[in-house]
Amino acid sequence: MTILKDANVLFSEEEKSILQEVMNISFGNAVAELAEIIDVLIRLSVPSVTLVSGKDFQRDLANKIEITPPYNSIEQSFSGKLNGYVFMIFPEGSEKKLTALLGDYQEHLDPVEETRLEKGALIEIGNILTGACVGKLVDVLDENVSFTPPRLEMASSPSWQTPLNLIGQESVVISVKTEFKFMAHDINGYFFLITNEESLHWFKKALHTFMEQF
Amino acid sequence: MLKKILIVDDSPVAIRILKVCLPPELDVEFMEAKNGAEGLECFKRFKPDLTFLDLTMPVMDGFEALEEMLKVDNKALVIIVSADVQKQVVDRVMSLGAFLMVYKPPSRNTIQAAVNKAVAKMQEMRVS
Amino acid sequence: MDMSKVLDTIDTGILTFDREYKVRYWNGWMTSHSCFGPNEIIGRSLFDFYPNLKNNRFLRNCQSVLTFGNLAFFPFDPYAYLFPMKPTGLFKSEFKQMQQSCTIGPLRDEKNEIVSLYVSVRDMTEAASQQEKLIQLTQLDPLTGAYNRRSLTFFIKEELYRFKRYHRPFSVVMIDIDHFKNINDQHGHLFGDEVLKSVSLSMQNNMRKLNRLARYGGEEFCCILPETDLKGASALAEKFRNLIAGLTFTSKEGPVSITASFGVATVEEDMDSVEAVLKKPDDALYRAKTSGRNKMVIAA
Repeated sequence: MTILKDANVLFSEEEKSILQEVMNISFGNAVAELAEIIDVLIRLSVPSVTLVSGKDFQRDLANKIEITPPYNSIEQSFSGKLNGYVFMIFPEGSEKKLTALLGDYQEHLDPVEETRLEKGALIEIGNILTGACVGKLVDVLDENVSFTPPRLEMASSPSWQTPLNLIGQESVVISVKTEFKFMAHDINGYFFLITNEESLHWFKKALHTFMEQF
Repeated sequence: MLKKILIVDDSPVAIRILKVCLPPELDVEFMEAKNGAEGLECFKRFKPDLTFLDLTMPVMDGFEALEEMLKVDNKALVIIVSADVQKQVVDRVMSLGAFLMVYKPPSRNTIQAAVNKAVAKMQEMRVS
Repeated sequence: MDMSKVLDTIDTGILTFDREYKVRYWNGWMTSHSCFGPNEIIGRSLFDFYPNLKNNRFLRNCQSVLTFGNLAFFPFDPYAYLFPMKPTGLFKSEFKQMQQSCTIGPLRDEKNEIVSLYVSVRDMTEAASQQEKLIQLTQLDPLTGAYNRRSLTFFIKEELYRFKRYHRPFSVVMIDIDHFKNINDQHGHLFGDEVLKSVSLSMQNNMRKLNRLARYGGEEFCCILPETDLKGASALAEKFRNLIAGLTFTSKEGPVSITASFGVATVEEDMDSVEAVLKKPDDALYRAKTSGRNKMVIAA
């Protein structure tokens, strides 16, 4: 994998560290408020921030996922002053637990209905988690964004094609990884937030503005 | 009376923000640690009057560090400073024996109030 | 330019409601497709008019948008529509209700606080019909109305996945019309086509909706039975056998009766491919054919 020589120029260690803390704050608030909507306790890992090139992004993502495929991948993009993508990875079998968690199961379901409900649960939880985390992040940074509908893929190796087309091979992306665990439901997964190079400038400014309040 | 403060947080930025929020007139010695395990070591060696402890940290998280610190000194004043503000989390740290919980990001007001409460508690403990 | 006029004439339903679910705006499209006008509904609870919305999923998503300012999506899904409405369009649709795609989003005040929600409702009935037709075109065998072979492969893969992942059983019934070549030779191909159609239809009309009947080859059919063991599958095969033997066709030479042979098998641990799944019932069918026809053989 190419080590980005000038990565520090684009986004300094200092800025990475601020972003990490801002992520920590916004995700923490997000899950606390999420608990009001879905009755869950979520344990979040320390967010880790890396810079990768567009062409290495897919490999980088796959390397960071430590659960065995096949898995459920939910992909969603957001746009505004901050543009990017969220990828959420849930292990196989989680769709059943999530459907139960939402209380969506009904009696006497045929397999087709059941699959439809399970896919629905994954998409809905994905959409709400993305909305909560990204929503809070831009909220902390005093901005709003708009979202596209989530896309679900249940596969051994998700394609993750969309961002490649839009991010571009040569560009630099900020990749934030957080592991989360739905306590008491034995559901764990990954949350990746990817932003494109155009957002970098706004991001830096917003982060510095955030620090200025102290 | 408040002479030594220990801050445990994996994020240098969080530590910086917290220090900025502390009352400027405070004349104290600081010690910093970047995870629960390191924090616990510092706690034993440094014997701080007041500890600010994050929850989400690598190696040893804040829950465990809090428990261990209170095993060492059950009167220790530990203020949890965390972004994890889920109700169940707040309930848990308080029942474990945290002195206070402050939500991230902290502000000058909340930190000032927390420090005042800690100082009052120290006076109270000294009297009794 | 008065934007409210645009909102009122646009070919999308738009409504807004506050944190108490009281309707604040109801555009022209909503008025013309529902039975309610703005005068009746504005200021009243949305649930007074659409009690079906008072379900966990809708409430959960509204809460999420109110809290985080995200968008909630209710994509077109033949089982779920937010606002029960009559379908429109020039041609008659197979849908009893309008198929919709809805989005819920936040509306903020000058302090950037979320004070109410909007819903956009798009009529997807025509698109759903098109999709339905496309599915028929690509998945069905045009002569018999059964699924085509490509669909069969897809269904078996899907069932195999469910079996491997969740240990859900399924069975396979292979069906072959006896002496079909003779029928064609004696009575002509059109008559043969008639036989294929009738056999396919009578099987389709006499099984659970969940089962999938596909045309496997010339006069060969294959039926996939999810959640069914060998016992259930052989019972269905026997029912099919009697049904087909009871069919009577009229040709120029007089009434014609036909029979069919059946091979039945259920999925097993070591089956890893579509071919492996089909081999056992196929072998059983072969034995039925070579041991007298008009019978069912269960795979060993």
